[in-house]
Amino acid sequence: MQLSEAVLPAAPGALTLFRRRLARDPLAMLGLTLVAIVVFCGIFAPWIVPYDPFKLSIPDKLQPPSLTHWFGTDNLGRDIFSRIIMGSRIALSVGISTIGIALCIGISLGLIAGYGPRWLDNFLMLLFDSVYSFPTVIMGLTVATLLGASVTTLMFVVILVQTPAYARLTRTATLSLKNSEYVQAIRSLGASPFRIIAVHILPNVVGPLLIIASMDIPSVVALEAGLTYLGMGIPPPAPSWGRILQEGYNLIREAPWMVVAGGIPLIITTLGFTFLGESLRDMLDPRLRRIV
Amino acid sequence: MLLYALQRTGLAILICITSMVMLFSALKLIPGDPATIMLGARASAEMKARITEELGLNDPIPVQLATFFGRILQGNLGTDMWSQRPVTQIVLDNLPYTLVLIAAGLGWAALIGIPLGCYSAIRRNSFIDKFTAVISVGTISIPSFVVAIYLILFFAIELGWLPVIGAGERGDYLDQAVHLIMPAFALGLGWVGYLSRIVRASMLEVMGENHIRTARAFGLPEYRIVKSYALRIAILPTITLLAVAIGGLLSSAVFVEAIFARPGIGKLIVDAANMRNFPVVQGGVLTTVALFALAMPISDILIAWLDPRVRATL
Amino acid sequence: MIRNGLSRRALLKSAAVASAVGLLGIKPQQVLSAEGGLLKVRMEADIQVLDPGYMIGGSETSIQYACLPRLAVPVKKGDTWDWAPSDYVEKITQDDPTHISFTLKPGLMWSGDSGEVTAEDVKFSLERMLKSDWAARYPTLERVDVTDKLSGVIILKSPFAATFLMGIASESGSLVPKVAVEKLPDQKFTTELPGQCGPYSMTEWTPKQRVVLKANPDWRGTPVAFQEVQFINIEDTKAAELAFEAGEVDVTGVLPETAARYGKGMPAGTKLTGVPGPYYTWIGLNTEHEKLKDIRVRKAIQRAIDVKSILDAAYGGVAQPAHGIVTEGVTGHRTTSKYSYNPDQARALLAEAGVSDLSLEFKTLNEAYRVTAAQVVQANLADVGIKVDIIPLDSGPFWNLGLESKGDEWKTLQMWWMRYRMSPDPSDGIQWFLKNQVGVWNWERWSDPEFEELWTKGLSETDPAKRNAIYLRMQEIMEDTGAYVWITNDPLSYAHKESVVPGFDTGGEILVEITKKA
Repeated sequence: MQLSEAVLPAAPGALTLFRRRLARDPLAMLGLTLVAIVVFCGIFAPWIVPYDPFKLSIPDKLQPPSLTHWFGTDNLGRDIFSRIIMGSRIALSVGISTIGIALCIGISLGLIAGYGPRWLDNFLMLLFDSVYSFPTVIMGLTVATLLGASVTTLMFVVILVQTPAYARLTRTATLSLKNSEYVQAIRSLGASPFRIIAVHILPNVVGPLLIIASMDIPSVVALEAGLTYLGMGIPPPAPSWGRILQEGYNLIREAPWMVVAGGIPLIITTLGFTFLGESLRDMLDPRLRRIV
Repeated sequence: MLLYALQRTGLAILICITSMVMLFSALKLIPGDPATIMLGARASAEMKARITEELGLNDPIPVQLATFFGRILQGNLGTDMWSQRPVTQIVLDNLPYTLVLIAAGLGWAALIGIPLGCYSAIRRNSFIDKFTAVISVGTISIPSFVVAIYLILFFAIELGWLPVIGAGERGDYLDQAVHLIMPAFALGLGWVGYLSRIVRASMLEVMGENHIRTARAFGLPEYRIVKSYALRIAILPTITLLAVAIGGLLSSAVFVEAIFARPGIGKLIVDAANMRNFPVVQGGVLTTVALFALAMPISDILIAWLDPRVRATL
Repeated sequence: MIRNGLSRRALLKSAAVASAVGLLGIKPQQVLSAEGGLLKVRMEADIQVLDPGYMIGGSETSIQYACLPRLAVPVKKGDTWDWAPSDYVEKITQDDPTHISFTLKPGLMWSGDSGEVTAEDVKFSLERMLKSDWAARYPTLERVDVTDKLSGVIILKSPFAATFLMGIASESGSLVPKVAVEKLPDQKFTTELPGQCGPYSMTEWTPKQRVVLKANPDWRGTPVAFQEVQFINIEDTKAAELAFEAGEVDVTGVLPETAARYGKGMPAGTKLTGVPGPYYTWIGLNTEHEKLKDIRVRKAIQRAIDVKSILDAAYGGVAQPAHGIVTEGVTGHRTTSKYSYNPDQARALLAEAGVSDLSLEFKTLNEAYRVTAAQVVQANLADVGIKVDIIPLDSGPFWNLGLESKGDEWKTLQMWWMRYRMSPDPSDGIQWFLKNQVGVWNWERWSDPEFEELWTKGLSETDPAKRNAIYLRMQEIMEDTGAYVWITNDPLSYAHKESVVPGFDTGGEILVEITKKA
């Protein structure tokens, strides 16, 4: 069990270590704080918003920022601050669910590629590389042209784009584990391939992949906002940040606060996750590197 | 060397082919009559017949696939549904704008990133070094469309310094350059960080090497060492970045072109997608995929060719 | 692409012009045409098809008016549109309700080698419209008889009051050179005019960027004010407004919200001109859908939607509510409707119909203002207990929704936001609601014998008062189906430099040849 011990940190010791490292790294602390804010908003949004983010109040439309409306109101008189807080829910749920699905598919395909016959491996790799060579947004536009724009399309695109990366990582790790003396030994003892994958390979792969996947959340959030901005994403009245930006762009002369407000949460989220992710990667680097 | 180049190019071509097959099968897999899907609302029976004919939709699938490849190999990407212009021509009209935008974006990134990287390497752990560390991580993740909108808001609307839309007057290079400043910055900002970090790392490595130490021992001034010896080698790894970057840059270009209403391949695809002008979408996508797939072997080969250390190992 | 197709011809013909001057009695200074000046007009969509038979609209219309001959032009008389003979004809008269005779001016030359503009060209151009995508513009055209080289008679099967405004004097009345078009594959063209003859010549098209028109030196009609016109392609209206404020274009359409802001204060040196739009916007309900079959439900929805709020939110308060489809200044314009915003009545109607927990899909084109409006509708209907899901669609799938030829969407279609445009004649706007349009453009899917009967009557009726009454009654029938919630006749607002006085056609498109300097 040498390898699995090396890859999976013993829980309590590592956690303490992690906490200490985190406390010493100001960038990581900043990242953690920003992420905590976003996650907090995402979870508790309905209870902390000052106004109903969906409540129309046309007489109050396009009010500039004030003490009553911190980020002003939009063209339907809705409180933009409340909508932005509510938007974190959409961003996170789309981010987490799509990455989750992509992880599941990616890991399965990666295991198949890594453990299966050589020709299948080659074929899958070519497929991954080809999907990978579609610039993300352009892939999104192509799919939207064919299937029509909707949340399903949006999620489909994100999953399609993210899956190859996870599959590749899983495959590499599987290949190295498959050829390790340890697994060879178990196999010679007659363990079924399914058992080897489920018990000996999978657990070693999942941990590091989770960390990598969590670092992908900001790019998925940005992608969701971007595609929604281009008009193919979450339908109204859902307060997606991309939609707030898009509505704001159409009123950029009349209500410049709308685009300013729409951009801030995107910046906070991407910065937060990236700062935190970078620091995490640095801390876990030796272990991650072994598998990635 | 030649073998290596062939291998890399071969892989790129294989990727292009697979992508085309995927695009082709996507069209086959979606429910509904492809001609109707491609033509959308204004499809007259006549247009439908024409597209069915043109794409050979009545032929057996393998024949269709062969025709599809045959046409692409001849450089024929089909015909625009409405204007009847060849898609190849349309793509070629738009591509230069995107390439110029990407080049200018990387120009911005280099203009800011390389000096920052050098400075951080020379003054390690200085305030600037730490600051660029933060900036580099930060700028990577900020979406280009947020940057683009903020730039418009501040420099065009509030200050009125820079033009908002379009690519500038044809033939007037100064005007075109002015129109390029903001879009290119929005595109390039994300790569400032990468670039400076890469330059910094490879600079540190190079500065430790023998010939630099020798130069230093001869008492050459530090800036000359950096400029004449270190930077030349340290800049090589940034070329790999280009290959990785081009996919991201093409994606960002979609937003930047849409927001600044600039002509280009990204805007071409967005507009065509809205109109469901499928031949144009397809042509645009194939071109970008080819660009991306080919950028990788080109940069690999460039590196191998430029760096004597890599060349030796081949 | 067109590369100075006219310059060579311009040289060859300068002698001919000199002689024509004497012949036509035009003063020399008019021959010299416009003095200097460049006009930059924003064009929303790039040109795709300039062929009058297959065009899409927008700036294509402006280019047809500026570069192609026609027998008549639309003119605004007070509040209403009428037609007048064009600069290309000696005379054009309606001899009787089914005969229109015309004589072209001599010496009008096509660019290229198509020779003179003749009565044969008129015959060819108008008759080919009957087989085109725009055949509906000539509902009763029989044929054109050529009497001599420059004269002919347009013969109608039955009288039709809007033959001029909808057909001959519209973009669909643009003439094309027979000789050149007959040589083209399918006898159609897209972005290259096979021959030009007009105040301007299209000299350059850079796809997705601009179209350039140059004043035609041979032009002998009303002189133009600008030597060169550039149509600059900016798809996004907001981007176009920003470009306008930065002085990069001289004329652009603006969003309603911007029109409201400009109404309070214009940027220095600019002006806002409102044009009564050619549009009519309504919310449609599918009368055959399970959830909407009960007329009381539809009437409840009519009463539950607060049009005033929609206009305030999505149109910046600059639009007026509509009470039918026909726009102001056109025969059949309706000024009141039989229902008004009344949520209590709506709730009562729903209760009477025994409907609760109703949830509907509301489909709209994915445009910012429509999506804004849809959200008001969503909130309004939530007030009376109807849940609405907004489904924004791109233009491709949206325009397929109600078409039986394009799949099964029409069966599940429930409620949608719709905007059509019409020529300044009620028949053009109302034709889409006939029985034969069910499954085509009558997405509401109803029919009514009285409506059909009135339609036939309206086409041949020539007495204005009687026509007015016919079309008012037709709109009343539409309203009584409960399938229509009238929204507005969208006003068009153009922002332009103070130094420019833009001219417009009946559809609110800019006509550069009648655009003047202030």
